[in-house]
Amino acid sequence: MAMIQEAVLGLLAREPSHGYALWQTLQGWSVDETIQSSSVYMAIKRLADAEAIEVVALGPAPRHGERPRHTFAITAAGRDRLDRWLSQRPATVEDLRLRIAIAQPADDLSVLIDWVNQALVDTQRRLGAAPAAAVEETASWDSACALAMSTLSFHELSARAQWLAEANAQLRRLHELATANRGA
Amino acid sequence: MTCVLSLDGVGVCYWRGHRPLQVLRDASMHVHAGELVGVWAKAGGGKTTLLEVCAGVVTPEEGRVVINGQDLGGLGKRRTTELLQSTVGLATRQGPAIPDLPMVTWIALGLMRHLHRRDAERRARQAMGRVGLDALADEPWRNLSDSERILLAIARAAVCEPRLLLIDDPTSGLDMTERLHLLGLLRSMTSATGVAVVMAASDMADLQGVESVWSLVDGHLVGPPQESATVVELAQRSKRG
Repeated sequence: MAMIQEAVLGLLAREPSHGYALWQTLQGWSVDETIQSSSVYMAIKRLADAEAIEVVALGPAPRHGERPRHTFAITAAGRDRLDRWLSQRPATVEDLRLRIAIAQPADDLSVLIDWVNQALVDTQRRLGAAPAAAVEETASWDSACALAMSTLSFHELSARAQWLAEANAQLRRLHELATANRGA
Repeated sequence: MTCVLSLDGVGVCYWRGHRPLQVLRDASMHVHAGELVGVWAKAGGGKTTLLEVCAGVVTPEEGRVVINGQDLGGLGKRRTTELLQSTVGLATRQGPAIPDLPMVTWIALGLMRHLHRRDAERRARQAMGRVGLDALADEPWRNLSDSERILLAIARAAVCEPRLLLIDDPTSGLDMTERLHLLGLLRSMTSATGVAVVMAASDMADLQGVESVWSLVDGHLVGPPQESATVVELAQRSKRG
């Protein structure tokens, strides 16, 4: 997960927490990689140095070899930084997943929905432009390689498009839920 | 290029007990003559409903459906039926109701309203020949493989030479060679006759080689850039509406 600092900020914007709990949550969010606890503690240190988060409660004295369980909370500067990041369009799909994970009912999700819509349209256009490779009965090595590449690229693109379509549906549901909550 | 199918702000809602199920919301798309269009939606995502709206089988609660320049909402029942019979072909994976019916008779049935049986069956054999399956004229549905069934369903939908051919999930269950064969066939049909083809699939990978791909997401149609509106535009449109 490339944006651990943003993830930590987003989690602390919900409620104060300590490093171990933050690491556990982030591991649950990760699909195909294991997040090292050291990366999370490093992110916490950098955020604390930048005064984006602060210690609000000291943990009990740690036993030998353990990290102290201090409780951290987001600061006003941290909130500004988080808001700035959330107002920008996501750069990658991973970035989008993270934003969905830390979204709050008060957040305006339309930036994300528009991004997903555009990304889906672009992916669909690439799918439409990708030529279907010809299947030859006596395939040469080169044509077999080209077929393999074209098939794999197409499956990657189509899986991405389906993922984006699903993200679109989920974001619209969250958007409706947030609107209903605001109306209630 | 002539616009063969135009959906404008179409909405369809079903009721499941007391709960409304909005299958299509403000769905808009335009399909032109000779175009091959793919629509993806996950299983239960509204593909069949969308095709049924395009075929005039389901009347939407909201929006306009224009086929070959004629607004279905403004036509009487008889003229709608005439328009649809002469203009639209719908191919599904559902076979004939009579299990032992030879394929050539099944395909010829739609023509028998206007033609003698012998002429209708001759045209049906030609349609079967165009999908390369005229040898199966006397076979019943149960003897056919998945790919033969979908090809014959397409032959049946195309026998009246429609302007718009709608195909529900044609490629699922087919291997890659069969898929490419089917796609090549649809392509040659669009370029030879100018028919517009809309095919729906529940796996995006089944749409390989289709020029224009749309997604049906939560009732919304997301398509090529010129057609898709941003959320802000959609909100403005619904306010104006």
